[in-house]
Amino acid sequence: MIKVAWRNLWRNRARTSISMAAIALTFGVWLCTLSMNDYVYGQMEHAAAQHAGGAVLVQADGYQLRPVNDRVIRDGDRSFAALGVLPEVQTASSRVLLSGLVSAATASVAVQLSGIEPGADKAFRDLGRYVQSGSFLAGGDEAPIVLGSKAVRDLDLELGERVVFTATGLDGDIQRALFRLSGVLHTGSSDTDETAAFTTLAAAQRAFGLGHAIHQIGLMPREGVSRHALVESVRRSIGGQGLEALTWDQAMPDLVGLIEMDKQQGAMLGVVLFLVVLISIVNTFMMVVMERVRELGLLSAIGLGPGRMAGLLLYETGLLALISTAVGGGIGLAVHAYVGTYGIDLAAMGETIEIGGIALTDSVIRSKIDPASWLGATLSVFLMVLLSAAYPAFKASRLAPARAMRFYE
Amino acid sequence: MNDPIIDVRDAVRAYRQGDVDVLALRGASLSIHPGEFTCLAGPSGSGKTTLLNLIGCLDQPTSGSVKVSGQDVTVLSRTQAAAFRLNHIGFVFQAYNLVPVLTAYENAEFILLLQGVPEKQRRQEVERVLAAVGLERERDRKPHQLSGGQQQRVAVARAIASKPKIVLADEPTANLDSDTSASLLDLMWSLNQEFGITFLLSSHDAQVMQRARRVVRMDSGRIVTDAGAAESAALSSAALSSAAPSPPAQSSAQTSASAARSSAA
Repeated sequence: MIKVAWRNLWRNRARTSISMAAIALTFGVWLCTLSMNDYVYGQMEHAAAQHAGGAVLVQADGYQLRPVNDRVIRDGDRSFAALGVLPEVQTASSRVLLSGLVSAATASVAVQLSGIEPGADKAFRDLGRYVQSGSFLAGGDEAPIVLGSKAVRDLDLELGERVVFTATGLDGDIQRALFRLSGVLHTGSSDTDETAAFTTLAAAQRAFGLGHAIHQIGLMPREGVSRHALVESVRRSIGGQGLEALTWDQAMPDLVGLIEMDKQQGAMLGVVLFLVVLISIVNTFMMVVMERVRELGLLSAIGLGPGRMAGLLLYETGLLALISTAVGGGIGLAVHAYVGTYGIDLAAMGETIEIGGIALTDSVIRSKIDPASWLGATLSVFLMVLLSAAYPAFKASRLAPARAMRFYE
Repeated sequence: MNDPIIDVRDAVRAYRQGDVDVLALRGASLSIHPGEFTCLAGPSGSGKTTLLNLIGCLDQPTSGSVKVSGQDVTVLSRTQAAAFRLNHIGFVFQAYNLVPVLTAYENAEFILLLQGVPEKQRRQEVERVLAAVGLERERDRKPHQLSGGQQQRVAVARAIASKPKIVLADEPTANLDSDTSASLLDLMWSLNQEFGITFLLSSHDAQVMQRARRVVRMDSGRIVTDAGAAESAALSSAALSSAAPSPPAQSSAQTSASAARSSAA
């Protein structure tokens, strides 16, 4: 039967080749999209972990739900020291996070001021490379502040000029502190460039009378330790201290939702693309049945049962799917090899990739094969192509041999 | 005398054409005994093919009964009918007899494949029947590389490859010239004589009627005359006792096929 199916497949070489090319190209494009998306999602998760300030974040209990300025880790130094020695921890960094208003002579903008230790924080996110002018907390200023390029533009500031940062202090009163603009960042993320502000941890603690209090400790795991393993270890360590430990994705559920939605949209696009191709394949196979109705009648007359009749067409489709997916897989692998090696530089096209206000640090898109998603795509395509032949196969199996053989009379 | 191998009783077949019921068969009854060589004769539209289709389980009667090899074929499902055709009946049609993508050898082999016959046995059987129809040298040709007569011979080879008790041939000579028709009839006649295969042919070809031992004439869906029924049954019964179970390597069928090869080609 496979021999008959194979030869039938090549009876009309042009038609079969066109169908095959349509499936193979669509499948190939789908695989390319999948592997580039998988790379981007991987980068995005990395960027998100950096943006969050660590793979695992430790905060005062309830800070995630209500991130207010007075919800702090009171003895930040002790907590930091205890967590920094955990065997799963590669790097730790303390920070103060204050929501407030930066005001210059002519305008004000809402920002989140992060008080960080520049040296320790560099392991999490190297913001220094986004410096447009000035420096990233590298000078000897007592109260330096680094603002995003859009905020600086809105405030109409120059380097070295002073700004006032207003926020609620630990006692609930409004407090003000004076800072001097020491650097301007341009990350490419409109959100960061508008609302992020940085100063040193010491300056933030001093300005707002926080003492040793901090808002967050960011942790990065050692090589080979997952964020989930790290967070479990941290939770055991901080038990009963009124602290909470979250992985970056728990801390940024909106971003995770956006990435998931983007993945779903990609999958939907693939399915829609294939449905369009499959409709034409259904049409092709219906034509095959109609063209061969007499021959199918003959096969039925000499003893080919309905099941085998349907099987014959499904064999043909199966072979078509097999070859098409093999060729499509080849296309996908070839593109993967090229993009994986040379990449596609979106910066050269003036594009940046940004989801949920987080921009990719690397503007060069590469390709990454996720075996599970490739396997899933291959099986889906195989199944969809087979399904496309189900109706024509059913019609063929229902042919009455006597009528079929007289079809053209 | 043996029980009839084909027994049709009061078969009626009506088709719906628009709002009108057209009666293709109007109560046909026919008994054929094992080993008979019978021709269903009559003009176009007389009901020959319809009757043949009922006997071959290709169609169902509107009323009446059809028994083949003792089996009431009117009660068979589609799948059962296909299996019955596969295992009991050989078919030769007027045209479009062969699977175009298969060679002569593969066409003759096809039914044995469907029956699940092992490869070695299949090869022996196919070589035997191709020799019987005189097409050993054309075995690797596809239908479009064969003449009309050769194609019909391949169809006969396929029909007898699984050693069915009955071969139904619907207008087998309709598209052939006179010489080719004669050689094909010689072949079928030889197979009937030597191996006791029951042949039921439908035709309005005078040559076929001359070669048939029994001619059943039909008109307007009815059997109007049945010449030679008793004699044919008696002769076929006697012939059956001396018929070989299957075509030997060198038979008179093969000889007649070989002799006619040139005209068939």
